[in-house]
Amino acid sequence: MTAEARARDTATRGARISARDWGYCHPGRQDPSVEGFTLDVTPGERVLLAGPSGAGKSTVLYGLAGLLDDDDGTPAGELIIDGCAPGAPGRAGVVQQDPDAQLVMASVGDDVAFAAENLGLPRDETWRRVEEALLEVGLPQSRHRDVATLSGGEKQRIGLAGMLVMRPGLLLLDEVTAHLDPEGVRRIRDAVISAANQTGATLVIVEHRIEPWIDAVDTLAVLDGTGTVAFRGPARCVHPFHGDPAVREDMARRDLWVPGIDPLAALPRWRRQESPSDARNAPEDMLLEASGLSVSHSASPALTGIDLRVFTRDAISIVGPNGVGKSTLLLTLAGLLPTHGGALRAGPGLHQPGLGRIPDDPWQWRSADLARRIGTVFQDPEHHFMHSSVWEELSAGAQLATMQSSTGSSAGTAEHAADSDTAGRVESMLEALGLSTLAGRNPYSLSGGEKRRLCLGITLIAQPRLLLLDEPSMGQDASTFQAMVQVLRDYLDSGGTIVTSTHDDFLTRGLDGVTLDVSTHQAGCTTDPEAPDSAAGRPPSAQATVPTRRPVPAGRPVPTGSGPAQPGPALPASSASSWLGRRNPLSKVAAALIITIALVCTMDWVSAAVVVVACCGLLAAAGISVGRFLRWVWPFAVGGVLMAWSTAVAGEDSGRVLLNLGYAQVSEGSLALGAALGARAFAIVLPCILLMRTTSPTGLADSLAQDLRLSSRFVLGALAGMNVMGQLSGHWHVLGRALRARGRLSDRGVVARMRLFRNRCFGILVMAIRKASRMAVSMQARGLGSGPRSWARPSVWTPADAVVIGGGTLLAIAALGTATVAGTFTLAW
Amino acid sequence: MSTSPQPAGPSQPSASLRADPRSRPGRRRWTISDIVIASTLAVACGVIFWGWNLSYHLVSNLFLAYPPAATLVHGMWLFPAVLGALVIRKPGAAIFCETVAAVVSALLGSQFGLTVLSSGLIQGLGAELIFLAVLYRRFTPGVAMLAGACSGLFGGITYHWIVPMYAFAPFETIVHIACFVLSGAVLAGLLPWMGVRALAATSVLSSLASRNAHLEPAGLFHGRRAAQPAGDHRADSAR
Repeated sequence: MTAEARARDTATRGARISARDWGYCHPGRQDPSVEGFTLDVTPGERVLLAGPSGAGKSTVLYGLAGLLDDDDGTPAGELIIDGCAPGAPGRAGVVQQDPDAQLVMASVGDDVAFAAENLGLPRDETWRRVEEALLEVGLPQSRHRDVATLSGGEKQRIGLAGMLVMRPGLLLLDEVTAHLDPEGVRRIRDAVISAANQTGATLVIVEHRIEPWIDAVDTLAVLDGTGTVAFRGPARCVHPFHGDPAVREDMARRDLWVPGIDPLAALPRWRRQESPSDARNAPEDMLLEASGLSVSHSASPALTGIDLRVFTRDAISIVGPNGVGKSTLLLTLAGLLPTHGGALRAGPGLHQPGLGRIPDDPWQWRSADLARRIGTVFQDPEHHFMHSSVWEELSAGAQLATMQSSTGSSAGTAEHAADSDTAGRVESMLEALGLSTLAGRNPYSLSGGEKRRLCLGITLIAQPRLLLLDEPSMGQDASTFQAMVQVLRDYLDSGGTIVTSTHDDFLTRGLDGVTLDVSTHQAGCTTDPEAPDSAAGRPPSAQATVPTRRPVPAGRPVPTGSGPAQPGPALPASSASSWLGRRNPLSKVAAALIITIALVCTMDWVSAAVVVVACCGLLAAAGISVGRFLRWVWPFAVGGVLMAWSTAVAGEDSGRVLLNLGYAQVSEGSLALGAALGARAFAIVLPCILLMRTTSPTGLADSLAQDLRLSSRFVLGALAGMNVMGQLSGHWHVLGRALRARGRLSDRGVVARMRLFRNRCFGILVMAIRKASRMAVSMQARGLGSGPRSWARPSVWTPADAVVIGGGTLLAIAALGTATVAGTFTLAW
Repeated sequence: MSTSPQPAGPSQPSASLRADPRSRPGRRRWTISDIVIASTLAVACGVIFWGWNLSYHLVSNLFLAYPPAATLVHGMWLFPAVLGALVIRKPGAAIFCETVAAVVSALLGSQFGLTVLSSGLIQGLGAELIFLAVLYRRFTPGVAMLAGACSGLFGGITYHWIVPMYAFAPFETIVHIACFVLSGAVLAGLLPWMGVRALAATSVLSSLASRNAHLEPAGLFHGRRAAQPAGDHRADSAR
């Protein structure tokens, strides 16, 4: 069957789903995630699949996509799509919750093309579909954008486009709106509906919050706790005006966010005790004061001119569109980011007596001082985890508070009492959070809702005066939300203070709080205060013709690959447009290999010197300035000198002894060897640096797969691995902030520091593997490995590539020849 | 034609249809999850190599008094092989992870240049051979340490005879290689084994064959086979 025929066939037919008592047990679990799932969906039907957390909604979705092909999993019953087993290549598209998980390639166009390539579509058809799909999701002409410059909502729409290129008959959405603001939710919903209208695809949408979708879908299917369909009916049944009240009540009892039913109504009536700021000015109750504060993650400020006073028992919600800088403001107030301008001062309320003197600016506090006063709950619960059980996590937090109360008292018996006190407080916190049965579990292995409750507990148990929460209600079901509001209310009643960043009205109302809208404080934005993703019109960047990087609205921090916020080694390909940058990656690899072999086969300093001189001569062709080059290579020069010394000391001696150290000696022979090895250790770096600074990983992967015929699964898997690590490079700092917030950065001593480093590495590793698993799902959903693959970017060979290889060979010969003429050539073996 | 509607006979339950004949016997074929996770681990190791390569300039100073002992820390360059094999548990994982990690470190800039291609391959091969010898069925601390040691042995041989990087006197050469083997067993054997257990406990390995590594007995060589899903009772300590 030709690719065109396949394309024609899948174009405009919705899939028919027929599930009979289907079930699935994930490998390593005793209980099945889904049992007795029975559902019929006609072609083109739009189904909203809802249910409490842990009901198996996602399992059903991945089952429909044919992605549950784990050998060790145990399916039951039958699940049939168009009369076949699920998993036909290109038939079903899945968009996941994590916006980063769908982005496999570095540029938008390459990423969207990925699925079309996996289906083996011809090149022009691929690019035609890419343009179509980008238009469909409202991001036309963004083919050349770097995916790192996309906002969360844009990433989700690109993820959708990446599925639409397959022209799937079944579109599956797994809580795609969980991370988005209302405007972002509206945009992705409109894109999904318009795509479904165009193609006639069947839709299955999993969501906690059904309100945005209720008018757009035909059918509502609600799962009970085990994955059985407990309700199936027209979606209009739950409509706030034309719905059936009995059904609506029933749905609310099933833990759904039913439109028009207030989840807070289930909680007892409660009013926040008046905070002093509302009544009279009580200086001893002032916790934080910001005047003219500007905050930033990078060189330019995100928000400016913020004036804010936080008093005891305040509940303040910072609101504004996604990407405006809410989180940045929150982290600055939390003492986890330095202020960019203006002043931030801790009030008398945070200068508790008996804790020693501390500076005014929370950023300057020691980590332990900070954690006892200001608690921060991060967006990603996993950033909090540092121990291997729920109990240990909580007792570590409780000990912080104990340190606080027992400061000044003598050790011994007081310490013993503190221990039992800690245990008691951990017990009662577990009770309050409903986590008592999970005390021994590894925190990472909890469910999403349990993780969120746990990190609330970890933070609260340290008894901070001020609690900061970053988007706490994101992606929660109604009962988790209610439990969280109850815990926060108790905290406020006990004299606590809360500042959150949120776009959830329910939370603000639930805490009887006030809002602080920061969208008007956006730096340098006077005419258009909206962030591009939530602007009513099309973002200005989308109209620019083929930009390689999005034009940055003034002052808005946009993560770019080279921004100062990006730590760690810069990924290569900074000079991709130079002469050397335009050559085929494999020709450069070949040349570098030939030079390396020449260097390895002799031990002398002359050949190394020839290579060093030649590589420096190539800097212009590689588009690398001398200054940058020196910055990259100086450590290797130092290394070469050290190498020379160690060989001179330990090398086999011959000739005159130059230096006697007692245990070893430096002789003429060993010194010459050392010089040769040291020079070579330096020279051998240079071809590599030229190669890698002028080659993009994507280009290299294309060449490896097309020219060397390496397995595309492995080449693309490795490329995805690189992208995962690129995405994670900023997380190193995030984890550092989390450690600071938990009071751990003050730990002294080598062992404690090494433990901190290990914790941080482990956290990154867990996050990397989790992201990689999701990315693997996305790659599989986009048909990777399903059959012969085409390549949308051809690997081109030109005569200039012969020049590169020839040049490398000539250099190798020249190096060896010069060494022979100079009489220093020494065969290495 | 995979997408055309076919009569949906009740005799075609999807469960049995989906059994992929390629992957059933022996379960040796790499899934996409295996590939992407192995690659991610390898790239992470490559970044660690990059940092380690730079700090090695300083660390090697500690051994200036007796340079051949410097290989006591060279096990740091071997751990991706054993880590990859313990996590993926399929043929080729050790070689793949070690080689990709080496290439990534070269890509970020390394004093060893492209010679890491050969050292990565050979060191990975050293570890791979041990896992092959136990037919990819045992992943005990003893096997992990043997694999690390063998990787060190192969690495030492490379240093001196395949891509000669050192020119020591004969006795120093032996010390140099012996220290490498020892370092491999500990830094690249025992530590990755402990690391994989800790990772498995977080449940992030749930899509891989090593998902139950933390529940396997820790006997030096007497671990049982990778846990079978059907008969396996996941010990939820608190439930």
